[in-house]
Formats: sequence, C-alpha cells, structure tokens
Amino acid sequence: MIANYSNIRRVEQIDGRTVLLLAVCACFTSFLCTSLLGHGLYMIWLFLLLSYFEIFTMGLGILGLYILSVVWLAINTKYHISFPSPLLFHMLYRLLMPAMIVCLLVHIPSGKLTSSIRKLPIPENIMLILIVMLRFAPTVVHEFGEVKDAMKVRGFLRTIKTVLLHPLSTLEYAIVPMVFRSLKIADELASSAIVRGIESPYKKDSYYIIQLTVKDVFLIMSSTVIAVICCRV
Amino acid sequence: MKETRGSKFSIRDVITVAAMLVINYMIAMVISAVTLPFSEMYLYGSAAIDGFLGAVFFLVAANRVNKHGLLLVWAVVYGLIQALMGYAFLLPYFLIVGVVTELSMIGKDTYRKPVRNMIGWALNSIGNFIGCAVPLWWAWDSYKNMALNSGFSQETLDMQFLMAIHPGLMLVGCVITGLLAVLGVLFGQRLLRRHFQKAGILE
Repeated sequence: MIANYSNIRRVEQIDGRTVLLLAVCACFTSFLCTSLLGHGLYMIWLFLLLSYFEIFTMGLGILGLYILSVVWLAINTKYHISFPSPLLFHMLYRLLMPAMIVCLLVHIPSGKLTSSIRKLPIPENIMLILIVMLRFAPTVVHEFGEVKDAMKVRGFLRTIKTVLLHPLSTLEYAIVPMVFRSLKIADELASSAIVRGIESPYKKDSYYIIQLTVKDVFLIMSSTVIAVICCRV
Repeated sequence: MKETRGSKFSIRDVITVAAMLVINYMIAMVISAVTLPFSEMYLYGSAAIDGFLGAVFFLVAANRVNKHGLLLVWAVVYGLIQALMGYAFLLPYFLIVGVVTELSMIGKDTYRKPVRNMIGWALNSIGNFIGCAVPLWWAWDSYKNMALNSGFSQETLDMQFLMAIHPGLMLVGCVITGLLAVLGVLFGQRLLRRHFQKAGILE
C-alpha cells in the first residue's frame, strides 16, 4: 500500500474524489459568477492551488491565456471589433476555470484515480472509458504527429494545393493509419488490463490508500467558501 | 457473430470505444477552435464537420463492438466531458440524445448495418448541433451585458442574436448536419470495406 509519505508528490497525496469535487465547484463558479472580478479572483485561487501541487508552469500558461482572453474581450467590446468574435473570448475565459482543475486531474496517477472513482456511483464501463480517454489523449497526439511525418515523407502534404484538391484522399491517408495504430494500442492495453485481473468478478483493491484526509477536507471546504464569496462579489 | 449482442461490454470493447472517442473528441476540439472566431460558422458548421469526420471512428467502434448501448455511451461520455469543461447543464441533455439514438438502433445486428448506423449517427450529430447552441446562448448573456455597457446598440445585438438562434436557420443547420453525417457514414463505409475488412480487423 502507498501511504501519504512526505517523499511522494503532493498531487499523489490527495484523493481523486477531492479533485472531482473541485472540478464540479469550478464548473458551478464559472457558470454562476456574474462579476469579472469574482471570476478572476477564483482563477487566482485555482492558480495558487496548481502552484502548490507543483503544476506551476501549466497553471501559469492557463492564467496567461485567461488574462489575454479578458483583455482581448475588453478591446473587442470597447472598439466594436466583431472579428475574432467576442463570444469566442467569453466562452474561452469561462472554460479556462474548469480547465485548471482538469490539469490537476490528469496529474493524478491512473491507478489512484481509478480506485477513487470506483467508490463513486458511476457505472464501471463509463468510468473506465473516461480514465482510458484521459490516458490515451497524449498517445493520440503523438500518433497524429507520427502519421503527419509519414505523410510528409511520402509527399502527401507537400503543398496546400495537393491537400485542397484531394481532401478525401488526404483524409483517408491520415485516418486509416491513425485508426490502425490506435486499435493496436487499444488491444495491447486491453490484454495488459486483463492479465492484471480487471475482469475479475471479485472486489478490487488498490496499492493506494483511498480515504479522505484533513488535507482533502481543507481543500474542499476552502474552495467552496471562496467560490461562494467570489459569486457574491 | 450475426447478432448485435446485448451482453455487457468486455474490457476490449471499453478500450476500443475509449480510443475512438478520444480521436473523435480531439478532432471535434480542433474543429471548434477553428470555427469559434466566427460564431455563426461555429454554430452551423462545427457539428456538421464533426459528424462527417467522426463517422469513421464511430463505424469502427460500432462494427468492432456490435453491442447495444454504444451510442448511449458515446453521448453520455460526450456530455460528461462537456460537464467537466464547465457545461454541467449539458449532461442531462446528452443523456436524452443518447437514449433517442439508442432507440433508433433497436433490433438484431444493427451496429453492423450501414443504414441503421447512418440513422443513429445522423441523430447523434443533430443532437450535437443543438447542443452547440446552448453554450452560445449561455455566453451570450454576459457578452450582451458587456457590449451594452460599451456602447453597442440594442438593435445590432438583437440582429447578431437572431442570426445565431433563428428557428429557420436552426432547421437548416439540422439538415446540413444530418446530411454531412450521412455523407460521413458513406465515406466511412468505403474506408471500412477498402481497408479494415480487407485487413481482417473488422467483420
């Protein structure tokens, strides 16, 4: 069993359910908060949380994008600029708040996340799909890069004209290898999971201790209180 | 395997669906990012293009898994991701879309029948299209407040809003989305025959 020892990463010391609750809290705050000041303050709180969990660079990137969206939106509305659409920046700055927590979610080890979510009333198939999706996304990006390189080498992406004149062929050359590779990885993943007993009908346990600690309770309480304050600003 | 199996998804099915969903969702995100600067294009085009491109991935999953509940899972996972990204109110909506699309697939071996897949996928894409409008309406309120405070006239704003939600235009959007989804299934079936069935990956 892996306990909360001080030498393990901070993000591994919290429960997956806590992060899911934080995600719900961020969603509601982003939806209910009508004041830009309150919205901004909650974003700063989330940035501080990400910094505490040693995800500073990614947090800073999202915060930078958030500031850029708000500033651009202010310029758009002040000077009546309709392109790019002001709605884009409205949607973007509201989406960036839950995105902060999603960053935290992807940093939790998949084994821990699986056992945390297993304690929630979510159907196992849906839960497994979500977890595999979270872990599969970087692989897909990598595979897209590989397929793109292979297409370049074979001259399928030489000019924009080639792509525009034969869009269906270009799609076929990109999609087919992508699906083949993904299915191969999916089969390997499935075999690995079966060998490790995922289809066993018995109660499954984990190397990780799944229990809410004082740190989890503090995180949930403080985030909820700050969310309420920000919504009332 | 002649019948659409009604039993539980095996782990291989679950991972296949997850893999196809990831690719489909990533393509949808790229399409959204490209079309978002043009709000009308985002509303009327993104779901349609996604319906065309995503059809291949759906068909691969459908022909491989061939079990009832696939479209329901597809829509629910889509709704859960939207909920995680801030649109929690879209989850019940996508649950309804999933139930409706799943009802369209009732019968034997339906996930391996091109016409039934076409109907199911077109309904799913139309559901996505209507789902696209909801966040736009949500963002509209705060945009409207800010724009009015900055000197935009009410008439200009009303005109912009009408362009985004006019019932006639919404119907046109549904037709375009359904049509592209059908074309996507035709394109996908061609790829399935030419590559995947020939290679023995799909039956």
